[in-house]
Amino acid sequence: MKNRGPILTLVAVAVLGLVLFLVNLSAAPGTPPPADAAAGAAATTTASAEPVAAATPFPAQASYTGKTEGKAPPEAAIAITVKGEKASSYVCDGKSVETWYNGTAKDGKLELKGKGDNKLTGTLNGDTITGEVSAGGKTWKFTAKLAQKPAGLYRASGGGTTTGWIRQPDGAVTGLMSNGAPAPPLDTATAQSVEGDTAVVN
Amino acid sequence: MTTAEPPTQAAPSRPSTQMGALLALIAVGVGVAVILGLYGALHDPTGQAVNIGGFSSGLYAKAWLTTGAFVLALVQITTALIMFGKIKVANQPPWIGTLHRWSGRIAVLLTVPVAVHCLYALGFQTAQPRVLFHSLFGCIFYGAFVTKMLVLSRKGLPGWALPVIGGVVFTALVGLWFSAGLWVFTTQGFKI
Repeated sequence: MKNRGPILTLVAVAVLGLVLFLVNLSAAPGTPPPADAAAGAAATTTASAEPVAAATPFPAQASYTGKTEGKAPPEAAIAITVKGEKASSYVCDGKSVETWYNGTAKDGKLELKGKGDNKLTGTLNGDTITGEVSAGGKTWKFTAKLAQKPAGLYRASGGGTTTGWIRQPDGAVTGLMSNGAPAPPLDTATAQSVEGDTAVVN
Repeated sequence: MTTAEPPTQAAPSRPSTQMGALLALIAVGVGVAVILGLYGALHDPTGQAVNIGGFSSGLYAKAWLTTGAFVLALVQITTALIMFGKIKVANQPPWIGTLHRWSGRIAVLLTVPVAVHCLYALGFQTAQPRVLFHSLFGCIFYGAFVTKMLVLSRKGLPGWALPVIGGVVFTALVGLWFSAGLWVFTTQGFKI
């Protein structure tokens, strides 16, 4: 004799899960989050690492600089520039890890891709972007804040290598050449200032 | 996942086939846990999802639903101990089994909206120990739940199977609540 109760329970759970999942899917595209969802998301963002939505639309053109979080490898610098709906970014620890990203900046959300599987996602909240970036096979959380020139993202190409520099608002510069060599000192007069629509992934 | 099981044999089976059947049911549960984890890890978390009304935020809706499930899980473990005679109750009331079944059903149904939100909006995350353990507990909970339901629906399995798997379900739910529900209340304030 077979006991049907547990199977019915199982089916009920599966059906409820599926229905809720489909409701999510059908509500997803382009729907602004309900007010309470945004509030919950904001509360989560402040206290935990969960990436949630509380997006501020991007300005027409802006640069953001900041650092990745976490201990391994030591924190890396990050710069994100936005122009229109396009975004460029560079992550660099100044020693061995550096990756360029291109992608979109829409409705306060960043979706960027670098070489290989590397990618960057982020959400603008006020003047601060929080998100996740993968580079060199690892993923970090990061925070970047609105920065004014000469802070920002710089780049120079030549001799088969590309050099990237991130200048923080306090003047600190993190840079690396694509062949792994240390970057020469940044000269903001000669280096190319990377904007959101600069193609940086090659 | 519920249709994959062969019909139960009426004749008592040999211990080796019993163990084989049990291992198969455990494998189904492990498969469910792995699939949930892979989905959570591989899809792009949307960062938002449809919410349940009546709470100050989606976060608190999840925290309270999990807390409800946690309280019902305490009912679960108590009624199970009574049913297995580990807690001696004079004149064991006949409704203990019914209470156990329905508190369990409601508990797991309460967790489903929470889990769908977690998986859909947030995904499987490893950035912090709390978040990693929460992700693992979530996958284990549903895998163990599936195995337990399948074990319940079969006769002739080893007697220790049900308490052990039930214990795993209970432990995972308690872990889920401690790593998220209780965490919300203690770090962000106790409110509706």
